[in-house]
Amino acid sequence: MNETVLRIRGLQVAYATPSGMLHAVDGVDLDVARGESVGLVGESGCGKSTMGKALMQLLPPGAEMAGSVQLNGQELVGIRPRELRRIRGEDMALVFQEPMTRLDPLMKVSDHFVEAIKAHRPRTKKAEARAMAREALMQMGIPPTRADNYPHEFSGGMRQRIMIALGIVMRPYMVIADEPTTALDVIVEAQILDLLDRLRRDEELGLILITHNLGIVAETCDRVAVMYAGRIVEVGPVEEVFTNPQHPYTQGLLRSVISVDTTELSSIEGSPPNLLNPPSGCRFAPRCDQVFDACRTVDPVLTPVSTATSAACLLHPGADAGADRRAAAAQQMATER
Amino acid sequence: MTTTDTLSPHTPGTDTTDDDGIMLRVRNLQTWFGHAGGILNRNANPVKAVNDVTFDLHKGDIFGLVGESGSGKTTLGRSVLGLAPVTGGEVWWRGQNLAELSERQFRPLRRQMGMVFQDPNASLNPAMTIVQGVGHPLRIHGICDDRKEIRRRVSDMLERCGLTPAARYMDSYPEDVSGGQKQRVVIARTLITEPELVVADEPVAALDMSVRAKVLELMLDLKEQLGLTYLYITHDLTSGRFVCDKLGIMYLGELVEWGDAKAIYDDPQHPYTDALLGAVPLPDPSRKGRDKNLPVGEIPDALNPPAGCQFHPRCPRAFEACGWEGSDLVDFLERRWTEVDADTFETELAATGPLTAVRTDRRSARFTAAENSRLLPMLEALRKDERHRIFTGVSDISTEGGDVVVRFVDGPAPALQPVEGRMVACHLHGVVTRT
Repeated sequence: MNETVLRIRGLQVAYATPSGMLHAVDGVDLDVARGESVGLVGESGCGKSTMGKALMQLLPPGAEMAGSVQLNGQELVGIRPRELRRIRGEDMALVFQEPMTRLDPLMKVSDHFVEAIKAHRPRTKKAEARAMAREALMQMGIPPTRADNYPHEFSGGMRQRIMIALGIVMRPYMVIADEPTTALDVIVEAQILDLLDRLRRDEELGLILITHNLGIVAETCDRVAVMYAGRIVEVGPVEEVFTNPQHPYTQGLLRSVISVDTTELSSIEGSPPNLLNPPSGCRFAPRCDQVFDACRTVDPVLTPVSTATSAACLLHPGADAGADRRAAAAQQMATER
Repeated sequence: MTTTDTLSPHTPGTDTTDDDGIMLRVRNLQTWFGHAGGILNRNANPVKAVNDVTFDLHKGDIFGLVGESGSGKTTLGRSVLGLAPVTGGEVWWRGQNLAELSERQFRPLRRQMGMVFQDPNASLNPAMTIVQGVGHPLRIHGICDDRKEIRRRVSDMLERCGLTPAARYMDSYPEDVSGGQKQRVVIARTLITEPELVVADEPVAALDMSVRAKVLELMLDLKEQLGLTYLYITHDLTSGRFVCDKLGIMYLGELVEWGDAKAIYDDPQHPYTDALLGAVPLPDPSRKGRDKNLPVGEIPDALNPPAGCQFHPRCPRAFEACGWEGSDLVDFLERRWTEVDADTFETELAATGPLTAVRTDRRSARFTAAENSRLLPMLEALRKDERHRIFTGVSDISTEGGDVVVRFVDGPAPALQPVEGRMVACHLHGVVTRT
């Protein structure tokens, strides 16, 4: 259980814009253990989707990536396309938001599987591939009798199940899911999350779940990483972070969740900073309700605030030791490149 | 609490808006589409987007209309405002049945009713400045023609909607402001004619999490200040408890439960309401892994809705009276085969024959390619397992003309009935048939 399958160090992603480089992800460290699910949350524009795309190596042209992402010890940053194609599917699966746009409307569902399996194992017999498809579909609750139907003959929830089945047919050990249920209704969403959870336990999959919905994280994740302005500002076990958040941003985010128990509306004033020109010091300082002088000049780093949780906030001793550490990391990165 | 008055049967043709505080009285409202049938759908059934919907909207209330995509909640909202064709039923407003009015007769009433749409980007004309856009309804309805007066009124309304100082926004274009501010502009434009009823269709769904609370707060403040009544359409149950006084739960074009919001949240009486509330993910790890008792499957195709109670194929508590039919048996077998091992699946498939060869109708399922000697004992064994709700509705399993035929009892569509201070359409509370 403690075996780390995904190890992210100093991950940076920058987009070239007419006004300069925009660092959408700016120095992220994160580990995911075998069988562990980690939720990645934050407001729109915090960098969580960019980070997901970077992990999947699906960044648009013009984006630059630096740092290190190791999947079971293999470095993914700068990997050759041929090797990447093998890893995607066999080691790592991706689940997206819009299942219909990822399935070929002119291909039977079973043929999607045959094609995917043959791409990885060219010598697989068709009958064997079909049996693998049927098993993966059944695991996701799709009747085996429907394997030869076309994508349009399935409902939205079933298409998403098919996509997940396609992702796991080669038995990968890491899944990255970017808002996998956002387009679905609440009951179907709960069904899919249930299935993903069961799958993760049965197959000991590592899972990164990118979502804006804190309820989903509370219900399906072991740990949560809260992102703000391209960085992780707090990371720890879901039970700890949700009941006793240490970073003022996490506190504000949790307060602003509207749930069936909500009796008072709350929100975080202001909006996330422009990453072309981020504020000096703590990036959350302009919106923080606990800000003090040092916050405007000292850029805090992630510091342990309990045995399992870290937060990047100057309210916690040690977070100010970061300036040197960050400079050293940047230096190292520059020499590596 | 809902008064007993609201729940009493209505007398068609009467309106007492001002006496009993009911602003809008919706009776058996229907909006059906496409029953004329074109060349491509010769024997098409109508899509019953809104079917037999009855509820009351009290002055000053926020009535939340909740349902999944395809439940008909948006069409219902539009039908009430005359923006979608009403094919039957009544909408009483101030002694007038809106459903009978022509477009021309309706127009003067429109200023009393506003609508806020989901996507603020699509609701604002990008070529109009904010003062032009927000002031536009004043000109259209002939309320005010004086440019200075329009500017004054728009400025007031923008400030009321939290766009302060208004002077900063008046002459800019929609593209110059953020999504949350745009929705404030839309709200200002809706309220500029001083409407009494506002239909808000997913007003915060397109906004970022951090902005939603602010826009909802604004809507609540404006309701207090201006004495508004809202029909608040949403798929999101989480905001409903805090925002709504009354709640209506829609499923496939029908209201399955409506009444006092708090009562419904605390103690839902329709299994669908129960399922919806149970499925909402809670930001509370201590309730992780609770038994959600999720219904199976998804909202069915509106072109071919289930018989009886439309929720019965998915309902965890469905029983004999709920409207079981032939196609349910095919669905049951398909679903069962995702749960059994591969050997059982092959054995059972050999017994039933291909499911495409099963002919189904409202009262029966006929297996035309089955191996009867194996299918009969298989079905009898399944029938004995009481977890399989479908068999409560099976009246007979027999062989007819070489085919195995499974017959079902009659299951009428449930009518709304008063249960615990709200209206519920479910046979669990006593079988009440819709006429």
